[in-house]
Order: sequence, then C-alpha cells, then structure tokens
Amino acid sequence: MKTKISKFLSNYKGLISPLTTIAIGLFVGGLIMFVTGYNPIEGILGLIRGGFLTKYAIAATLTRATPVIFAGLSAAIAWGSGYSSMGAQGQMIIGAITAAYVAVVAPGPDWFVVIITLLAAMLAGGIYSLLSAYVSAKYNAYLLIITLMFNYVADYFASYLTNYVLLDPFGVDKLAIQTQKIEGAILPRIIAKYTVHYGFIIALICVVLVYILINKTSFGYKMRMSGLNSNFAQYGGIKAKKTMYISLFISGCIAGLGGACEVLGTKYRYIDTMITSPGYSWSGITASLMGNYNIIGVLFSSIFLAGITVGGSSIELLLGIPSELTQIIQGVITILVTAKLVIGFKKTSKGGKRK
Amino acid sequence: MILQMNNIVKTYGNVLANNNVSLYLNQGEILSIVGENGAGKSTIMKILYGLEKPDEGEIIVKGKKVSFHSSAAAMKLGIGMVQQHFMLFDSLTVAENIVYNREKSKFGFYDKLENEKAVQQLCQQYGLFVDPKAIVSDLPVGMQQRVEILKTLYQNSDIIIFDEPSAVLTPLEVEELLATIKKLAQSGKSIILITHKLNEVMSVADRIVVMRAGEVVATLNKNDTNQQELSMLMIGRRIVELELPEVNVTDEVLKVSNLTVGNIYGKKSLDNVSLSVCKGEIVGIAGVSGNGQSDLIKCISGLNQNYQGTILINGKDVSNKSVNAIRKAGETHIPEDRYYWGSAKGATLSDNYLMGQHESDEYTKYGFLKKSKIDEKTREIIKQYQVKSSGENQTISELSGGNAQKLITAREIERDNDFTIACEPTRGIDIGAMEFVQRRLIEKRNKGCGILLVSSELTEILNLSDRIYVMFEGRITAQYKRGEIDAYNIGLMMLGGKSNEN
Repeated sequence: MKTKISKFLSNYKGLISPLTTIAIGLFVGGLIMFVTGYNPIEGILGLIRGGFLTKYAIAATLTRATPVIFAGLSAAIAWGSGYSSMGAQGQMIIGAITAAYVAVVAPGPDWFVVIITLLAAMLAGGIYSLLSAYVSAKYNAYLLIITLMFNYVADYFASYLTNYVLLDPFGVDKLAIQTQKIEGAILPRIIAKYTVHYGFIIALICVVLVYILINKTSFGYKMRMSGLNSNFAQYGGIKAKKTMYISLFISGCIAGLGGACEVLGTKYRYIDTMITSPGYSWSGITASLMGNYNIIGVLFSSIFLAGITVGGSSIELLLGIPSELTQIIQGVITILVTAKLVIGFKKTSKGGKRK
Repeated sequence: MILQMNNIVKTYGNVLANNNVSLYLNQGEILSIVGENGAGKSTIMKILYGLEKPDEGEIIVKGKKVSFHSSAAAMKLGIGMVQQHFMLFDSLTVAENIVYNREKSKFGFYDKLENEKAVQQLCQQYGLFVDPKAIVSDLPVGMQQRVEILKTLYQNSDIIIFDEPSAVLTPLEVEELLATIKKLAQSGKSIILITHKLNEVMSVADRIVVMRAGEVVATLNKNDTNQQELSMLMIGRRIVELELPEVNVTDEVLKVSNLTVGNIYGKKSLDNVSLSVCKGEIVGIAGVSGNGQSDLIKCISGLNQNYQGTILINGKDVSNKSVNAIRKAGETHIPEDRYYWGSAKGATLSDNYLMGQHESDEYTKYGFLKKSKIDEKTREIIKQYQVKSSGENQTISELSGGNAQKLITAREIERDNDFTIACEPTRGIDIGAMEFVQRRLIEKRNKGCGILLVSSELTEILNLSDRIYVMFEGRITAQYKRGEIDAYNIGLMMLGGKSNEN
C-alpha cells in the first residue's frame, strides 16, 4: 500500500519534525549573525564545532546535558500522560537542596551516602510533584499554572534554607550563598580531565528505565493512552486520578534525581539559583517537546540543546559572536515546538468531537 | 448532457483509487453511484468537486472541457455538494448559513432583512421550508441537511452531489429527503446520489453506476435492474439473509431498574428506564439518536456514575460503579463514537486493540506487556476482519473510519464474556465486512453472551434482535419480540407516534 519513500518516512517520521525544527532554528540563528555583521557560516560551523566536535566540547556538552535529560524525561512522562506539568524546575530544586543536606549529614561510607542521597532527593522531588498535583485536583486549577507557581515556592524556599539554615559556615567567600561543601559522597568524574560525571550515566540508565516503563509495561500503557485520549482511557477502565498521581510522582522523582546529580556531580553543594539560572528545566521541557515525548528523542534533543549552549559560549570566546545568539536559536526552536503543541491541541479537540 | 467525466485515473501512493472511470449525467436526471466503502465513489466525487486533482482524464461541464482545483471553482461551474458531515455554522441562523459568502449587505453591513427575505423566496421556489431565523444547532438533523441543500441552491448549482445523505436520518426523514431529491430533479437540477442503501437507489434513481475496487463495473437503467443484482455487482456475490437460530435463553445478564438521569436544566434525559438482557439474546434499542440511548449506555458502561436506579450485571450490583468494576463484571462495550471513546488516534493498532485487556493475564505478566502476543493477536484480527492497514504498528488515525471501526468492534466482540454493549457496531463498514461482523455478533449470542444493540440502522436492529425496545424522549415506549413489528411501524414509534398494528 505504500511506496518505499512513504514507508521510510513513516518509519522515521518521528525524526522529521525535530530535524526540521533544528534546521529552521539554525537558519534563523545564521540569519541574525548575517544581519548583525558576523559571518553566519563561520558562526554556525563554530557553534557545531564548539558544541560537538572536540573532546572538551563533548565533555562540556554531556555535563550540561545531564540535568537537561532528567528534566526532559520528567516532562516527557508528565506530558506524555496528558498532564501539562511545568514543575520540573521546582522539583529539581527540591531534589538539589535535599541532596545538599542529606549528603552532608548522612552517616556511613561514601557510596552508601550517595545512594541514600539520591533516593532522598528522588522522594523529595516526587512528593513535591504530588503536592502540586493534589492542589490542582483539589481546587480544580490548571496543573500548568500550579506547577509554575510551585517553581517559585521551591526556588525561594531553597534560597531561604541556603541563606539562613544551611549556609556554609566555613565559606571562604562570605558573599556566596551556598551550603556546606560535600566531602566524599559525590558523583565523581568519569575521566578526571573532563567535567562529565557519573550523573550522566545515571541519566542514561533513567532513559532506559523510563523507556521500558512507558513502552513495555502495563502502567506505561495506561499513561500513554491517558495522554493520547483521556476519554478512550476512561472508556477502557483506566482510573484517571490514580494514573495522574503515579505518573506525576515518577515525573517528580526523575526531576529530583536530576537536581541531586547536579549537586553531587558538579558543584558539590547547593548554590542559590544554580538550577534556575542555567535554565535546565526549560531546555528539558523544550527537549521533550522536540522529541515528541519519545524517550530516545528526548535524549538526543537534550544533548543537542546542551551542545548549542556550549557551542555558543565557544563562539563568543573565539569569534566574538554574543552567546545570546544561541538563546535565540533555542527560542526559535521553542516557538516552533510550542506551535506544534498548540496545533496538536487543536487537532485533538477537533478529533474528539467528530460527529 | 450536462456533465461528462472521461477516463478518470487517480492514484494515492500506489493505490489505484479510480481506474479509468467514465460517467455522464443528463440534465434533470438522478444518477446514483453505488459501491462498497473504498470502491472509489468518494474519490470520483472529490475530483468532481475540485477537492482532488485527477492524474488523468477529462471533465466536461456543459459542453466545455474544464480543469479546476478548488471547491470554489467547482461552485462557479454550478457544481454543489451536500456533504455527509454538514458544513454549517451551528450557532448562526439558517439564513446566515445559506447566504454565507454571497450575502447582501447595506453600507458594508450584513443586511439581515434582505437576506432572510432572499432565503424565504428560495424556500418557496423549491418548496423546501425552513425558518430562516432559526439557529442551526436548534434544528433536527433532517432540517440541517435541508439547509445544506438550500445552500447549494442559493449558489445556483445545476449539478448537486449528495454524499451518503441518508446516513444520519430517521426513516421518515429519509422519505422526505428522497421526495426532495425527486422534486429538485423535476425542476431541472441534475443530481448525483452517492449511497450504499439500495432501497433508496431503487426508489429515486434514473440510472445507476456501480463501482467496485476503483472501477465502474456497470451502468444500468433503474428499470432494468433490481436490488439483488445491484448488491451482487457491488460485492460480487449475494447477500445472505441473517438467521437467528434458537438458543436457550437463560438468566438475565443485564437488569436495569428505574434508571433516571436528570440534566442541569431539570429535564430528565432518562426517565425511569427498566430493561433486561438475557444470556443468549440480542436486545435492540431502536430510537432516533438523542432520545436517551447515549445516556443509557453511559450509565450501564460506567462512564456516568451519577444516576438513580439500579443496574445489575451478571447478578452483581454495579450501580454507580466505575468502568473498571463493570468491565470486571464481564462487560465489553463497542462505543458509539469510534474516535471520542473508542480509540486513541495517535496510537498503533495493537495499542488500540489492547485496551480493556491491558491488565489481563493473557497479555501481561508481572506488569509487563506481552508485546509479541498482542501484536500477533492484532495481526490475526486485521486479517479476519479485513482491516485495510499496513500492519499492527500503523497508527489508527491513518485508517479510514470503517476500518478503524472494524478493529474497535473486533476488540469488544472477540472476548470471552457474558455481556456486550454494541453501539453502532457496523457504522461505516462496507457490506462484506458488515455481514462478517453481524455474523460474529450472532455467533457470540449463540455462545450465550447477552448483547445490547444500539444502532441507527433500523434494518440492523430488525435483522439482529431477539427483542426490541423503542426509546423516545428518555423513556422506553414499547417492547417487541422479533418479527412482531416492521420497519415502517417501528419508525412511527421512534418518532413518538403509535404503531398502526395491534
């Protein structure tokens, strides 16, 4: 029934839309470089080289990609189940501050403390996500708005703790708002010379586990069907509330774990705004939209988005092109994927009402 | 000859949708195009209406060879179409809908009075009466269709295409429609009627074009043929009359008592409904859609858990229980709307087939899906039910409505259970597969399953049911045994009248 080409397209159609999105993003970036007087070819090539083509670049990209992957997975689980949670950021913060505390106070050998810390951070992130889900369900408010608000609560809560409760008493730099440094119970670098740490491996494991959960299990089936058509799920006997709470809990756990890995793998402490200012969770949500909630797609989109950010710093250094340009590229990509989302919403609402 | 289509070829990918199709239309003639789903009727009409471009062939309208690629261009040539799914603005008035895009205006503003007057005149001219001031969504389906017809007349169409016009109508409305079509032809309009209901064809058509697998297999004068011959030409064999063998009817598998559902306006959408279905019995619910059937099904299936009255399934009280509890009591359910309830468009065929059994031991183990087993079963179903698809991994949105329906119907029939709700089980399915589905339903009944059948196809209800309840305005107004009532009288009952018999 299908020609070779259309068969190929239908097998790989998942790839077409993210690749087009990337191409348009890069094109607009190049266009702006051109308009502002930089050589776009040099710029784009520099961006790619600086993000992906040297050993150092790859290490830096994977380091940055680590929290983005966690946030992306977290978003993919929630959004893929039909719940528009924007809460990855808040859950990462809660996970990070929990990790910064537990890793310092928990007794036992380092490896044990690491495990306890990661578990505690997961639990904290999960519970925080559940809390927003509960508020949303109880007061019949949009989860999207509630989770956005919860992000602020988490940010300021962590900021308060860092300022007043957990502030590093031995800090050399008295101005830095940070918790006590974690000794020993950390996620070490995979290769000492490069920044990428074992958190990246944990992220990859999570990719595999989440992939299995979503695609191979009965619960994942419920999640997917709820996400694709909640009426169909209801008709088939899937309990909406239960599915919502469990999937949002898992989503929060993954985000919390991401926050912990960032603490244990890069900064070895919680520093105020360390999660918010690099915009990990937004990149993650963008990555999950780019990948269309497909877990493997999320992985590669995360690495790509991390790569252009890293490459952006590199072209700023080498060519003097402002790194804000990469934010424009990411912005264009976000607009495109969001537009797709909006169109998708329209389509489903139309499809649902067919007579 | 007002229209000629010569040697039209149209392919989609490597599917030959129209192969060398030729037909013509005389002025004032009613030409009926019949064929199964997928025979290419819709394609040829889409080409005529400018929605698709033919790969080869020519179209001659009123003696001139034409080529056009939009419905706007088709309208200019005097070709109008009454679509199966109405293209109306629900919240606007009849007049506004009819004059849309050709409205009379005054100082740049829509001239309400003039337009309504124009519509009034149009109604009078053709004897098709609708209140121009009425809001479309307040009108019954038959009237909405009349608005569609008036729309094409207002556009001065000489050639009017009707695409499955009776699919949504009640028997009486169908009669009116057929009268309207005849009247239009008498006034000089040329009509193309696409349908697969042969009794309608026989009552109005002058000539009949039979299509099968993208080709015209016969062009006949109505007077030279009969329904038997037509159906044989359409599917290549004779339709078998369905027979219900005697089965020992045993215990009640469904018992609904005093079911009442109120709506927010205080009007009851279900009013004290009591009914029962026994094992080994097909019980039909006849009624014009919107008379409470949907509400009834929602209560029984657990989609509505807020009503008064009791529902027992297999003797178990499931009143106000969840879908899950009801499914566990042994219910399966072919839903009324295949896309709203019945499937997830973005999911694959096997994922869609799994629904309802996603926790069964047959298809899961330790919470993991037995993917290969699910796929295998889905492939089997695809083959058995002739679901036209590229395989179990295709998304259901890429299937035609009829083929999606087959999969959904199969999902709920092919279970070993005691009670099945079948809403519109054959909606949009072609005749060959329809017969298969109906036979499967009967086999299921013979095995001792109780089936509650809701269908807008009265013949389906009459052919399949052991007993029939008639619903009107939320109440059960009559009950018949098989063979006790005919289509005409039951049609009267459905409209709230009294049957002529007894």
